[in-house]
Amino acid sequence: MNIIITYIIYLLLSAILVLLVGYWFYHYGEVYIIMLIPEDVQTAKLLNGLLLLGYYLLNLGFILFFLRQINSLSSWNESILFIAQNLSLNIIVVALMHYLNMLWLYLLSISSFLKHKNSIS
Amino acid sequence: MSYKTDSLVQAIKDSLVAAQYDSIQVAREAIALEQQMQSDSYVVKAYLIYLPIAILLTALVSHKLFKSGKVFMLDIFNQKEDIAHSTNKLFELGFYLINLGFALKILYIGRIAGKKELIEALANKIGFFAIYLGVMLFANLFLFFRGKKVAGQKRRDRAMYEKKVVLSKE
Repeated sequence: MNIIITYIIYLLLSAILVLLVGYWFYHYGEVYIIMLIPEDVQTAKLLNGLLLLGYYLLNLGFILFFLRQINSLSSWNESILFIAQNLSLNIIVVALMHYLNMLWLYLLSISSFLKHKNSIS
Repeated sequence: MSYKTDSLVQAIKDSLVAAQYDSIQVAREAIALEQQMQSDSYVVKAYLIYLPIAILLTALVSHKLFKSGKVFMLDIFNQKEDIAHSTNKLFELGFYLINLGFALKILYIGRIAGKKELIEALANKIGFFAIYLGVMLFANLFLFFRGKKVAGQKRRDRAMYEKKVVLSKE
């Protein structure tokens, strides 16, 4: 009984986390995609939506695939601990992916700036 | 006394000792279970105190940090409002995520016997988390200052480059 409730709470929290964070990244990241493809805003928006879909698939798949099994729960203490440890892993993975994406965007923006500079000269 | 009664007495003594031992064992187990349950309830209390404090602390720090971060971002992105706002917001999200993830990661508390140990364990946890937050704050500030420096350098480079282009056209 407890185990099922713990699984449900954990999965709900993880899903809410991934969906909310993905929406925020989608919302605030549009500017970057448009910055990278300034000549075609329509394509940039489509690309942004596809990226969001890929993000959702990757993260929800990660969460479901690596769902750790609980063999026995003796008290609420252990169920809080299970939720916290697994959720923290998910959050840290999402955060590291986010920082890597920022780095990647930064490198892309440098290379597009260099291309622009070369095409002028 | 005959040999038979002697051994009978011995057997009764043995069984009495065994029964006593068993009852001590049972009592010990009961006490351990009781202590375990008490400790569990204290640990749940500790979690329920620690988590809101960690979340509030993170929210406070990130609010303070990214209120000033906006100014840095505007400077880095040449006063382009939308991209500076987006970048600031994205860094804020990343800050929230990594700190809350860490706060949950270090949640585990083993055993708490009483109120004294509850306070000690909480002080240990919250203090460590606060130090970690301070380190993250300085890491982000370092990032901001570095971005500002690089942006200034880039601006100077570009000004020089445009000057050169104008000169070569003349």
